[in-house]
Parts: sequence; structure tokens; C-alpha cells
Amino acid sequence: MNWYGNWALFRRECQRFLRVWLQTLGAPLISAMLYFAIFGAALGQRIGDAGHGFSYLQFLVPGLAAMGIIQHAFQNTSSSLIQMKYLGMLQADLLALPLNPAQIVLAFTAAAMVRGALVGIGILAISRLFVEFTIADPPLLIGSALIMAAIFGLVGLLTGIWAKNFDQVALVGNFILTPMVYLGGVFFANSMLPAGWQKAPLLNPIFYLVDLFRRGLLGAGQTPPEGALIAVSLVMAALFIVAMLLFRLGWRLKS
Amino acid sequence: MTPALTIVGLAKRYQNGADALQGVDLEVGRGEFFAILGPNGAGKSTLINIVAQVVTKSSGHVTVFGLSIDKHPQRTRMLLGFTPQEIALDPFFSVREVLRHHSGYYGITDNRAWIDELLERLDLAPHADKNSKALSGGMRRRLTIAKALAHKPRLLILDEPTAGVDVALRHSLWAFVRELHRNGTTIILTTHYIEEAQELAERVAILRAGQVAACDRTNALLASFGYRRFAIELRAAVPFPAGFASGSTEAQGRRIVGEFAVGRGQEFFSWLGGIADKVVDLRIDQPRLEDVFLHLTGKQT
Ligand SMILES: Nc1ncnc2c1ncn2[C@@H]1O[C@H](COP(=O)(O)OP(=O)(O)OP(=O)(O)O)[C@@H](O)[C@H]1O
Ligand SMILES: [Mg+2]
Repeated sequence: MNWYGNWALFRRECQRFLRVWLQTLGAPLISAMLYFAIFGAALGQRIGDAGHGFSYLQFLVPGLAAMGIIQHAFQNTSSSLIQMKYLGMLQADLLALPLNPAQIVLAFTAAAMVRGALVGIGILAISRLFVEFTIADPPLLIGSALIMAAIFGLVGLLTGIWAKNFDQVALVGNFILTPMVYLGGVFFANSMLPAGWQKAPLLNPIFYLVDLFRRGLLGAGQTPPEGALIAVSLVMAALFIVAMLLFRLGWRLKS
Repeated sequence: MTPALTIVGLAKRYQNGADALQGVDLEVGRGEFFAILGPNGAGKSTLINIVAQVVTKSSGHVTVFGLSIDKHPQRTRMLLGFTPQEIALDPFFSVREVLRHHSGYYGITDNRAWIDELLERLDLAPHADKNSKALSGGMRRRLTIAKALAHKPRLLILDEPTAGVDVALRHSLWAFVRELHRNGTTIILTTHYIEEAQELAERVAILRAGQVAACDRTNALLASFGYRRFAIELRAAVPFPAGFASGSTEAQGRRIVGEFAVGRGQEFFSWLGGIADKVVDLRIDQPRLEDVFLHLTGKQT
């Protein structure tokens, strides 16, 4: 097994985003600060308590970090693949390489996890300047962050495989991912919703990921963590297998 | 010994219905220098891309050094180096970085010495730290060749490696490829410069509309070729010979250029005898691979 080849592809995928770190790592930190400015200075006081004795800003911290992780893991894989398609790099720089489909998916996913983790750590660190919090359950926090990054790295990879151009990637980002993230418990607890809508987020898979991550940071969540952990791990495995099969088939990659 | 490449009954129909290959059989021996020729759209790139596993085949079998590409996709990829016809380079990296990454994909942890040699031999050393975006077309072409060579493959497959490369660098490129060939690398290339193929390749295949129109040793193709080009300068106009030759008259009939069929040489020479008193100059040329090519692909002038 060519494990060094695997590492080389992973390293390339990491270097691609590190080369443009201002855009890939700097931008999410700026937007996190903006959210804190808006919610902290302007709106936070009026929203009041978010349940379990946490202030709204404390509640918001893991939400924003989770959002950053999700969006940037997705972007890393989807933009890399669509750029390779656009530039015609797929043949010599991916399909001809002596790596099996599992190795390719692994390298892309791992790079997305690195970017997601860096963004997540950055946002948590910046948040600490605005809000008091301690990490309640580090293993759960790290584990859920990595699963979250892996899942959306894989979703990005599938999007990149499927998409024929940048517009189609943007379409998935703007019309599917962003609404699901915004409605997935980043900005509000279910108890803050009108009575009839409190169960609605339970239909949103992102809600469980964000909730697990929030439980890792704050020590309290809205759903039982055990079932959610199993479910998201299964989703991650399923996405991995689908991506692997698509690479094996060459679907939308090989003519 | 198993051949470097064996292709049996290879067919390819693209999704849009284009039949790019229609039952191709080819065998390239170890250590051969093999050229694939053919007009635009003949299926050369399709064939190469299938061997490199970047395009799927519709049917047929391909083995590389005895290993089936279906059963051993990774091992066969490891054995060959490939440049696609379309150049595409990663805009994030410098020339040297591109080669470092490419070595890594093949499991090579430290390839500095070979990368330096590749840069030197392909005249890329002065550009080693430039971003690949900042290279000229010919430099980009040479970088794709360096990539294909990063892991010292036993089989090197080049799709139009000299398109867009200037004359001097083309010669140095061929000197390098010849050296690789002398050291045992099997070389397969496509080119539209047919004189290049005649000079370099020991064997050629000519593709036409997805089928092999001819495949033989370059010498044998030339020797068995049944036409000779001629040019005659005349003192006075004579009508163009009918039947046994084709071509045209120029300079108000005082110059005739064309080809005659070797099999009808008798008719040609007795016609020539008849006009001998008007002939100022006569030239009959050695056949060129280009003539063979034009006849086989039905485009002779
Ligand atoms: N991706 C594709 N989708 C559909 N048809 C294709 C595709 N690539 C090639 N073809 C068709 O397959 C045939 C063979 O093309 P190919 O590129 O293999 O020819 P070629 O011999 O390499 O030509 P050239 O000398 O122009 O490079 C052509 O008819 C072409 O239109
Ligand atoms: Mg071609």
C-alpha cells in the first residue's frame, strides 16, 4: 500500500488552503468577530438567557465555531475538486495517480478536517476575548468537531464530483448548506422558537452535530448525545463509502 | 518476457455516442520506442488516456507489463508515466513543488537529486522557483513531461510532447528521451510531426477513425510503401501522365510533381523515355513516413 502517496496528496490539499490562508483561515475569524460585535454589543443583552443558565453569547460561541467548521470543511474539498475540473488537472493530478479510491477520499477528507479544525480553534480562541467559558468535555468537543468536519468535507467532495462548474457548487452552498446551517441551531436554542416550531430543527441533521459540539463545549445540550454520536458516525461512514464508490466508477470524473 | 503494453479488442464509445476506438489491438515490447500517428480525431489520445486509466474503456483488455489495468489499477499506474495532451498545472505551486508533490504520490520520500536532474535536462532549472502560472506554453509542456518522469517509470507515454516546444528545445527533449530509451525505458508517443516519428520510433501504428490502419516497423512501412514522389523540370510543356501517376503540373506545364505507383513503374519509365529530350532535371525521392501516413489516412495530395 502506497501510504506515502496518500500523505503526499493530503499534504498538497493542506498546502492549497495554507497558501491562501488569509482567505481560508483569516476570513472566518473576521466574520466570527463581526457576529460577536453584532450580537454581543447590539442584540445579545435583549435576547437574555439561552437555557441551562448560559447567556446568549455563551450559547452562540459553539454555534459560530461549528458553522465555521462546517462551511470551511465543505469549501476545502468542493473548491479543490471543482478547480481541478475547471483547470483540467483531474487527469494528471488525480485520476492517474497510483492511489486507490479510499486513499483519495481519505486524503481529501483529512485535509478538510485540518482546515475545519484550524477554523474551529481560531473562532473559539477569538470568542474567548468576548465571552467567558471553559471547555466542559474536551474529548466530546474534539470528537464532534472532527466528525463534523469529516462529514462536510465528504459532502463537499461529493458536491465537487457532481458539479460541472463553480456555479453549481455555489448553488449547493447557498441554497442547501447555508439554510441548513442557519436553521441548525447555530443561532438559537429550540426553546427560543414559537411553540409549534420547537420540534422542526430535529429534522435537520446539522442540528445534532451542532448540539453535540455545543455539549462538548458547554456541557449541556438539547438532545441525548449517545444516539446522536452513533447516528453521525454512521452518516460519516456512509458518505465515505459513497465517495469511494464514485471515485471507483469515475462518475463525472472520467469520460 | 511479457510486453510492456498489450491492448486487445479495445473499444471506446463516449457518452455522446462518439465511437473513438473500434476494436484496437496493439502490442508494444519492452524497451521499444513506439509512435502512434493519426489525423485529428483518430483516437490517439483516447487510447493513451485509457491506458493511463483517466478515461474508461467500453470493452477490451489492457495489460501493462503483464498486469491487467482492471485487476491491478494501482500497480499498473505505478509502472507508467503519462502526459495528457492538454496541459494543466496546479496554480498554487512552483515548478519544484509540483515535482516534489508528484514524486510523493508515487511513494518517493526524497527525490531531490532526480528532480534537479530533470530540471536540468528539461531546461527548467532557471524557472524552478517560478509559479507554474508564470511559465510559457513550452515550459509548461516540459514541466508536464518532468512530472511524468518523476517516479522513473518503466513505460513513458507522451501525448504530443513537442506541440508548442521550440526547435532547439525539441532537440534537447528528444536527446533526453532517447537517453531514457537507451537506459531501458519503453516509450510511446503521439505526434503530428511525422518526420519526428520516422527519425525516433522503431515501430509506428497509424490510427484512422478508431482503428489501426497500419502497425509495423518504421523501416518495413517505408520499404513496402508502393509510391514514389517525383519532380520533373521540362524545357517545354507536356501533358500530365494519366493513370499510373497522380500529381499536378506547374509553371505552364514545364514542371511536373506527383507520385507514381511502384507497381506501375514500367509505364512511368516508358512515358519518361518518350519525353526524355524535354527533361532538364528529374528527381525521385525516398519514401517518407509522411507519404505512408497520407496514403493510409486517405489524405494524399
Ligand atoms: N470527452 C469526449 N467526449 C466525447 N467525445 C470525445 C471526447 N474526447 C474525444 N472524443 C471524440 O473521440 C474521437 C477521438 O478523439 P481523440 O482525442 O482520441 O483523437 P486524437 O487522435 O487524439 O486527435 P488529435 O490529434 O486531435 O489529438 C473524436 O471523434 C473526438 O471527437
Ligand atoms: Mg489527441
